[in-house]
Amino acid sequence: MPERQRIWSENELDAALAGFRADAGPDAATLRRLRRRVTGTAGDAGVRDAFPAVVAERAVPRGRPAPGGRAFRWLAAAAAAAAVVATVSGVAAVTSGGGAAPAASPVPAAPPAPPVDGVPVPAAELGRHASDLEVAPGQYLYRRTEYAAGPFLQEWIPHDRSGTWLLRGSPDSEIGELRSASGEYFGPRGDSWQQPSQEFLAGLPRDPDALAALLQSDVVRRGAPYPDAPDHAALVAVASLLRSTAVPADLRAALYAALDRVPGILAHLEDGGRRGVLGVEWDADGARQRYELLVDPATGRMSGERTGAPGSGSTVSWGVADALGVPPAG
Amino acid sequence: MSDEAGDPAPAPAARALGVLFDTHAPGLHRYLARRVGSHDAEDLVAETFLAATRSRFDPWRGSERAWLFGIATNLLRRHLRQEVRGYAAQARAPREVADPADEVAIARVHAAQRVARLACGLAALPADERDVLLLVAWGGLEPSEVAAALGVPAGTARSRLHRARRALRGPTGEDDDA
Repeated sequence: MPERQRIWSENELDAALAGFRADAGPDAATLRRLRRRVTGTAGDAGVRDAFPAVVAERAVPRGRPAPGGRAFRWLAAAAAAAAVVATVSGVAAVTSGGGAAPAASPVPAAPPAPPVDGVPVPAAELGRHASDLEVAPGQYLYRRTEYAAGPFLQEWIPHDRSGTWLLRGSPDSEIGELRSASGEYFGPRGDSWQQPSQEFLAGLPRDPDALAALLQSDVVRRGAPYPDAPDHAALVAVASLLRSTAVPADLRAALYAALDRVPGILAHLEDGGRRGVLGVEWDADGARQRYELLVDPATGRMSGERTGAPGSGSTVSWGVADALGVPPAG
Repeated sequence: MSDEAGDPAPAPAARALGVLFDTHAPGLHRYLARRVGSHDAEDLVAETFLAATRSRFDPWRGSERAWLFGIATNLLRRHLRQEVRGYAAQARAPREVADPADEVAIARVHAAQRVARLACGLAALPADERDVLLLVAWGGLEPSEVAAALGVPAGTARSRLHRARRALRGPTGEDDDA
């Protein structure tokens, strides 16, 4: 039968397509000529605006790598976080359905704000007043995380981040005390949103566009562990960063602004403007899920997490301690 | 900027563009050259990167590769008639060889007939179906990337791909020997 009248199989069609003008393509001289033409035409500003992630990745020195590559780091960090949560609360609940103001917060309350509860705001607004607590040499940044289920964690982070960190669980948490140089309680820190090193923090871009793009390439494109909810993955990565170390104010502000670039993440204020909420919803297991990262808009600091599930979640408060293992007065 | 020895290191943005070029330009050129020929492919690659630096990459809508191929495919629209003429020129099938014992000649003719049949089919495809088909076949994109590249729903990209492949495979008559 003539070629024209016979039906091709899928493989025959693929073979025909693969062989069609298969010798077309650039030689080395063509590519060199084109490269000069392209790189000589585009201005730096244009490239920076168009490809913020690539520029950021190429321009910023990254921290020392953790062993085992990215997949390992993600899994190891997730496992470490899960271990802490499970040990502390006895259930897999990092987040709380609470929403009550942090108890006995050492941080001054935000000034009175107009009643704007529930009104959507730009996420960047939550970092507009971001500030760092003054921690002198020899002092410690202090964080207390209270879980709705009852247990709480205290952490002392030294002024010199390479010094000894202390993580102490409440008696009912069964976590005891963990001490480690550089806060490496669960293994080496590195280029990880879950176990970040200081070099990783320093190397993250402060430009929200670049940061959003980096989040995308680091977290969302890989899909783990939420392949069907990339917006959730981005917010969880930011929350993990805030939960796992002391993130400086300029980076916190950039992170919130970057989340404005992530579709599906919505910010609003509660409690008369004293609590900022970054929330995302997605479908999983046949039900609508919700996760919220809570931020104090007066300082840009993380103030908790919640899901709406009963008995889950946390509130976080901050202070400055004069000695390792001694909570701030008041 | 210059890459001559002794010059200061290029700015991060320029380095980044160089990296992007090295990553994507060969594949872009190959894809474009198969559609409109090497000469125009060179201009189109340059235009693609220039257009890219004047717009904005949205990482939430797909990969850099998909974005660049989408720009290139849009630019190709200006060359639509030229592209179709190219396929039409290859669609003239050679005649059967006179000597049925000349197996080499027969194989060559059959190969040329396959090329002609494919070229004829490509020329006849609607442009939007051809774009999807060739972004997959020659660009190496997944259907989901094609959807992002062209700014259409994933289901639309898949159905266009299905229609294009069905059309190229031939009539769906029941008397065929598929």
